[in-house]
Amino acid sequence: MKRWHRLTPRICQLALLALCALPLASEAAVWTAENSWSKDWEDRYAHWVKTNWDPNFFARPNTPYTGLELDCADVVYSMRVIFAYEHKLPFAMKDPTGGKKLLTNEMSRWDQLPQEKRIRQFLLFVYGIGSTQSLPQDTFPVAVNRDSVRSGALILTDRESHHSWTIKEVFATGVPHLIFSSRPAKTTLLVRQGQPSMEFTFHGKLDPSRHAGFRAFRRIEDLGKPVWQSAGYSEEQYKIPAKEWLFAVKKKLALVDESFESLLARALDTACVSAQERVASVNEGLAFLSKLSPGKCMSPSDYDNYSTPNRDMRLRNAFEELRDTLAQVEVDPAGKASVPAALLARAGDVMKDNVLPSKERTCPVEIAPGKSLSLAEVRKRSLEGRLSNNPHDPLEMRWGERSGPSTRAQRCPVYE
Amino acid sequence: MSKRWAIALALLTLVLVRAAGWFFTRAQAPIPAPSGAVEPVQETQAPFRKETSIPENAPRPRLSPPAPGQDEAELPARAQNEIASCLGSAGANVRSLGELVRKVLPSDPSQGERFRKYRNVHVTLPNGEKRRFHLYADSTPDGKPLTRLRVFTEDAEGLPLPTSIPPEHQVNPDEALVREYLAGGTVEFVEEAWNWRGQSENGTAQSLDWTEENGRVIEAQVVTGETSLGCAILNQPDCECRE
Repeated sequence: MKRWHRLTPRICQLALLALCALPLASEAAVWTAENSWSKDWEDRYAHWVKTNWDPNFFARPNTPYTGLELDCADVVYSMRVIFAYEHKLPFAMKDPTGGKKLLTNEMSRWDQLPQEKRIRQFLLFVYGIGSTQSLPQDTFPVAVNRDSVRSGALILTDRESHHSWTIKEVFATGVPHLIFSSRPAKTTLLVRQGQPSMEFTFHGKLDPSRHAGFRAFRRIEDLGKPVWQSAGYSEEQYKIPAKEWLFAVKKKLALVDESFESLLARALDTACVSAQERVASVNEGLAFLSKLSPGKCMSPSDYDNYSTPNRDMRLRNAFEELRDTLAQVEVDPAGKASVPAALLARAGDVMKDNVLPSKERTCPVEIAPGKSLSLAEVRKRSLEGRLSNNPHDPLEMRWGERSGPSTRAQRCPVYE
Repeated sequence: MSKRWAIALALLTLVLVRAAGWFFTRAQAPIPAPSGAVEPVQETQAPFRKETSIPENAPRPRLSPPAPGQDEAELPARAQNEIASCLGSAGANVRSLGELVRKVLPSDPSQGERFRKYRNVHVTLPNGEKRRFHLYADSTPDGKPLTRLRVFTEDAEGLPLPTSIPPEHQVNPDEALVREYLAGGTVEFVEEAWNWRGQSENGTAQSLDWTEENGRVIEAQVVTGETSLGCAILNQPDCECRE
């Protein structure tokens, strides 16, 4: 018996060792949350987004997220998931398929994978199940002030535009710096400095039931409640008259007035970037079209990926904004005097007809190798409605060189 | 039995229980996809059954407002008063969320713009397997409305696992196709979320957002002009008016 008594501590030691060696099934998770969301963590989240979130976030080598391809809603969810993962905070979203359990970092589906692969698989899972349609369940509309509309918040459109942007920063001028993606999903993200147009975001219908506008992620403890019971929920943005909305929102978010120079430079830059991004989009569609056998039509989802009506609307809005900004500057003698002459001349060039690319002072748009259009020419064609958004049309029709639709575009469905 | 023996036995039992737990939760988990690949997808033959009959217990999709139901929970007096003070005469004598929705929605379905935001149907197949059908409103790049269908199974935790269905079934599936998918299984749960926009009787712009579970309204939000009323019976039945 004494021998057994001597052995007992040994057995206990062995049992403890075995306990430590076994994987902890009950603690299985994509990652283990060791911290809890709080005001301090929300501030750190905002700081992290402001300093880390950029178009190349997913293109950086040797991260668990390298090379992921994201559409617009994927970018929004990623911003929150990745911060939570990197800071051992919990993440949860509602189950869009009607399940009562939340989808959280505690999912054990990928337990057998190493940590960095688990997070990647979890992100892919979120991309597959989340969308602009699920975002209204996981986010809530916020008040229009710099405490709520800040780094880490987002902008959602109504379902007609089904688009979303993450807010990297709100400049002192009240202008948001947005990071986003579009279809088809891609690794390098897009940038915009400026509020998206009212027409594109709300379609003139300011109403909380359409879920559009400034929003933020809900606290996990609020996910079981109706969205209007979320802490910080506000319908303020829907009470601003539509005609004044852009101006009023900018004023509410601004610490300083935006100078005419900054206003004009930003409008010019937005128009330039929008036109150049369209080149990549159109070319992706044309490359996809060239792989289809002649005469074959795109599937509905491919059509959705490669057609560009939303992008074309945003481009048109950018040119309208540039036109209106230039007009605003020119009617104010003091304002006009404050803008460098070179900038005024560059913006003025874009408003002229028939400016050859070689003579334009800024932003030639190279639609194909060796073939460029001036930004003025793109503006003219955009405002005249000559740009084709149909991915079945050839390059010349996509850019309004020839009027369409092509035989193939006429024959193939447009999935209306 | 001495105290030491009791401790040793307890520890050994704990080890055995954890080992069994590990075996059943991890050792039998699905095989992971290679790094960088998309989520492992279980191929699913669709439609699951060719029968066009619908199980007797299947809640039918409909476009009309929810009918008065026996299981409609009566809202507490505080919530009823909130509805009445928020909506005025339109909110008088509203005792349940179903009544609220029926009162706001015009009887003529062609009035205003009504659309279903999403519908979730959970089905148990004859072999015991669970399926979830998620139909949701989306739009074409031109902003034209369309409906998308996604199908899921459930993993060991009861969480959705995506399955593949033919691309032509994923966009604008008609009711017949959806019913084919549902046929052969027992419908366990139906959730639908709706939105209506139109004008109230006095001509003010109005919108109504509501969610039903198995035909019972569980949440509703009415926006009239600058007034917004939210009601829910998710946890504690409650209503809140914002002006």
